[in-house]
Amino acid sequence: MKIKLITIACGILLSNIAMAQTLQSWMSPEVGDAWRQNYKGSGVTITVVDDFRSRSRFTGNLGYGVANMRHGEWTYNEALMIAPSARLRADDFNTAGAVALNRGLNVLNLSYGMYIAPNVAFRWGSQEQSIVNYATNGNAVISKAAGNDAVDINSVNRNGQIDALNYSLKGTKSAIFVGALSKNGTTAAPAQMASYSNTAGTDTTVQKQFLVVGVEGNKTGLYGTSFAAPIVSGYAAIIGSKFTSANATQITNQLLNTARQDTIASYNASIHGRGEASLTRALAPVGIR
Amino acid sequence: MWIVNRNANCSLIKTSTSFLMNLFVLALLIGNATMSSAEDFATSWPSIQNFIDSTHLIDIKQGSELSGKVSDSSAGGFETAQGNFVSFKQWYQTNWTDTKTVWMTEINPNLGVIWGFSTGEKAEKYEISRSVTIGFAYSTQIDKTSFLSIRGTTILGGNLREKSCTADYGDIGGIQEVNCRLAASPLPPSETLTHLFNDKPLNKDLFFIRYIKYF
Repeated sequence: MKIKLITIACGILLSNIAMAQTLQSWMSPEVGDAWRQNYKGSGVTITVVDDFRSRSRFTGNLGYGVANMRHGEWTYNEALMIAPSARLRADDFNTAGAVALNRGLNVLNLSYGMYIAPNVAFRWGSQEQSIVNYATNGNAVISKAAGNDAVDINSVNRNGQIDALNYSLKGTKSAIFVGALSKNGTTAAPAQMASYSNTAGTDTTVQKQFLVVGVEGNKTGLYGTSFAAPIVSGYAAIIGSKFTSANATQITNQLLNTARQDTIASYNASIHGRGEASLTRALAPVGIR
Repeated sequence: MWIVNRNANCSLIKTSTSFLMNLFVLALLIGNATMSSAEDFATSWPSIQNFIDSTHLIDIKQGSELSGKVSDSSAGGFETAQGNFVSFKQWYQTNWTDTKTVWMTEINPNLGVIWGFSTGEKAEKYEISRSVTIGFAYSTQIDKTSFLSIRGTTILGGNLREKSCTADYGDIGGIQEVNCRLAASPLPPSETLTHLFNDKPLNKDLFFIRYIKYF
């Protein structure tokens, strides 16, 4: 039996979009750079697959006051705040149906894991199967939280389980595993890996799909790779609004190929994968004359 | 070479002589428009010395709103996808800043011709073209306590035009023509072209009327 676990250690969806249009201190300064031209993910759909129904709530503050919300409401709001012009959809992870895609570029945010004992045969339900299919076929950018067990991403955790969703997304065309740095890194002040975050590990296939971003929980009260994945989801939407004819695989590769290592203290591919996602570099040309 | 429309009889005069001579002829023609006969025109042809004596510098300025706009917008740069810094200076730094001089030649105590020119400026990715300023100033005393003055000028040329860049976005976007300054922005590359500078000089056409009455 698989159990869906939200990947935080530790509602209200933003009804006023204006609240989402402010650069917050927990965001990378690169987001502000990208926002100056008023293009913040328009034409792209971000579907947040998460908990939108349970009674479980968490307290945090994304910059518009302390709130007590469900896990999915936090991740939804975070993605919306990064890419305020994107279409956001909430898809409760306890529903049975396949995740539907909209026209144009689709980004799926998965800030949860599905844990099973290793070597146990399992069969995906239609919801997760659709997600894995989208990643395999490159139909949508999949931003998947790496997990908070402080182990290599496909290793067993302290309970002797692995995240089967990570396992199934490994090596797919358009899935990105997102780990957490303790802050947004800069060359002047490189960031460390967050103590709880899963790492890329020695598997080079995983390393090539692994990114990290700063999760400044000291400012939001929200810790965990759950809050790393929505940042990458928002970045993907902003990149998709610039390169309007690019497909999900191209957007995924752009994020992975433009990650930077010079903002990470003691960068190591087996820990940080490709490096820290860089929105400004992902938007920039390779060359210009 | 430029063309002056003579008000008196609508004939066109073309000249390819020096710029100053053109302006000199312009001043004469406008002055001639106030005369009543061909004899007056012939006898009043002023000497070069008279022209110089009746001409006054009324404005000289280096830098303009347009050159300031380029200068402000061209500060900084961006990093390419591979992290190489691209400075805007290489495209927008100029060795010469647009400089403008404006003169007024007195035709009679009431009427003056305003004329001037600017040098323009350019760098690899933009150009502010040279310009010519022409106009007039007229003032008269209506009665013992009232004065009316009218001034009009227009600027020919002096437009700011920005050139595009060719950017390579690799697999995700290919090679595209873009606005150099916005190549790394979130704007779709084709949309950056609508933000290329393409401006006329500020205050291209000015017309003032001033009425003063003393009590």
